[in-house]
Amino acid sequence: MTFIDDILNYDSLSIVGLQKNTGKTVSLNYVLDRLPVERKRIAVTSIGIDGETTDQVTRTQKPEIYLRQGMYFGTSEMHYRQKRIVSELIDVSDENTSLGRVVTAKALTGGKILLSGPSSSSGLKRWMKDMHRVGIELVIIDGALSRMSLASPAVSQSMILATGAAYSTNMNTLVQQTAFVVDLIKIPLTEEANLNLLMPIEKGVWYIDDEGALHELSHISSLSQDFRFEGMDRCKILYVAGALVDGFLEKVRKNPKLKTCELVVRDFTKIFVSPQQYRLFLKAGGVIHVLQKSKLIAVTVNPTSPLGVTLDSDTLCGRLSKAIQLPVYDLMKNSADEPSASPVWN
Amino acid sequence: MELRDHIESPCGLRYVFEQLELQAGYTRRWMLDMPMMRTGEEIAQSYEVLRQFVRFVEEVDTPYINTLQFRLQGLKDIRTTIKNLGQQAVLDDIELFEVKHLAILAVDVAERMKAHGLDKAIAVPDLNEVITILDPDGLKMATFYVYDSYCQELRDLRAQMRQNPSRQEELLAECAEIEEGVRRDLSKQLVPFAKALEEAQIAMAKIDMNLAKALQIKQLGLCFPTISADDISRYEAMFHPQVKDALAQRKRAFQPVSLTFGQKPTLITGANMGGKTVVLKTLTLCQYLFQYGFGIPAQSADIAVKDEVFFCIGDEQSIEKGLSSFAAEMKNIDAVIKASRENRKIVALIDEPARTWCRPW
Repeated sequence: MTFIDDILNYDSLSIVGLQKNTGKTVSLNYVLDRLPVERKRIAVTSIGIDGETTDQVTRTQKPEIYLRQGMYFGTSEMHYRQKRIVSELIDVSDENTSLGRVVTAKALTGGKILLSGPSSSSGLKRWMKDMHRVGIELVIIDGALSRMSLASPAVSQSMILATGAAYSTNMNTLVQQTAFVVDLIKIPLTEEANLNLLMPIEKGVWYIDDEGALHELSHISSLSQDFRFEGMDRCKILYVAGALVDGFLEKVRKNPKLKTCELVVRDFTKIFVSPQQYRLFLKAGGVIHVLQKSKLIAVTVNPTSPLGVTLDSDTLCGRLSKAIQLPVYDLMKNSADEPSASPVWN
Repeated sequence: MELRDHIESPCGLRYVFEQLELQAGYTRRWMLDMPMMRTGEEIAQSYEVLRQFVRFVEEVDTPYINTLQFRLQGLKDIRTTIKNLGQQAVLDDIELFEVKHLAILAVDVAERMKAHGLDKAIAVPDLNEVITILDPDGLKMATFYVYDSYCQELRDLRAQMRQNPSRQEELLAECAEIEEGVRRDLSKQLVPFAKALEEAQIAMAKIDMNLAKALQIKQLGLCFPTISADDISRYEAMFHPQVKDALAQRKRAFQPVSLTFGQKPTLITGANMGGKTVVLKTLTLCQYLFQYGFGIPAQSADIAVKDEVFFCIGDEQSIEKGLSSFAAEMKNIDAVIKASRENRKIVALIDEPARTWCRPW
């Protein structure tokens, strides 16, 4: 069983790369090539431009996106006019991008396509809703980590993470950093009662006391340097709706009153702390949970960096797999359906 | 002057406008570009259409209205495409899709209007022929591409393409040429319908607007006004929807006001916090709503048609023009006096004139 079967359990999938040239498009093509398009209605879009032949930044060769007959896709007017496949238009939306409106079409022949879909997260959500409304069963979003909020659990149910030598050519660093992101993605959900209470809150810092009552702290931003925790002796759950940063996490860790309280953030894309601070927090007995979580389906690696450095694929996959306790795939090397390395469970 | 110019009036016109359940963004833009009606006939006619929509809303059930609203959400602004068509340009796939989409929508909406006898009130041009041109297989689906059925050669090439994906690039180039020919031919056939397409788009915006106004009348408890024959405006139990809503939130009720005024000056006086300003705001709002054909927030209203509405609230500083509150107010009042000297029919609602003026002694 490969991770392709896993994908079919969800109605949305985002593919995010930790960096450019980590093999995101290869992962996307791999997935598109293997999904059962005959029995599942699938739509693909991108939150940037994707499928161009040369990278706009590094000028390196890029794989193009290959759509199979019967797939639906969302792209901008400009790229639709440049398409090199036969396709049938099914919608022209009011969603504007710098390359024109987002149009949706069905591929009537297989072929290469440039994807450039909605560029805001609300636009993307609207597009996905429209797709599900017309009977699409699986929406795939080609994303970017630099714009991870667009691939956040608020938008898609499952994700594939692409990493590789482009992120760091030092294998230790690469494994550690990737493992850290995976740790964040895997942060468990908070209790259901808290979910319902906290979900509608989109800004500020709040806490729930031991009687289950919700209070807002008078300070608006968790980014503020002189953030103080006052009058919250009975705090059970501390909720940060916005970004979680180092300074704030450190204060929580050092505050004896907050020793037993659970820290809740909206989703992992809101966490902007360094691995060191995060580990110190956990080591001191800190507990962190999220309101929204997406299922990490697979981690893929590209051992070659655009600068020409190639790491040893087997070693990289093996070490990474051990660190994250998940199968890791080098899709460039193996088109075989077996993971390049599975974790050694111990 | 258009709705766009009046919408920010401090009388609260925007509040009422924003409460309309318009389905299409195009309707909203079209309404903002609507000039203010200045004759009794025009206004009477628009209320006659609206009356039919109120009857329609009362007749049919909610799911039917929801379906119609859902359809109207599909109304897009394709003026550029229609203009290109009018100039005999060759339309591309996206533009042809837009035309087909509009035509299918128009035929669907027209049928619904006819079924309820509303086709006389707002006529949607018949665009069945447009659909026939753009739907060679008779699928009646709002999708488009240069269909195989347009050309046997295209069909053969595409069949080859599916069999030999390796030759796709080369075959696509051949297809592209044929497709362009088909588009040229289609565009030519569509040119005579440019005007009808434009009319259909506007007709659907009108339907969207009237439906929204009719629902608003029911929702806010508004009334249909009569047009005053003697230039005297009479209001029974008028209210301000925004103030009423704000009070309702605090579990308090709005005290409706009845008022009659003619061409002679009318002075409103009373205790502080007695609601004088709210009366002026409500009167201004009602006048605008009347001249833009909305339901009126009152039990009954008999309103005189005016050429222009002035609302001088007295606290509008004009920083850009470098005017103080007092100077800005005097400018406004000056405009009122000039307009009245020119014998134009105006209504001027002035709140505490010269309140910011201070005695020097």
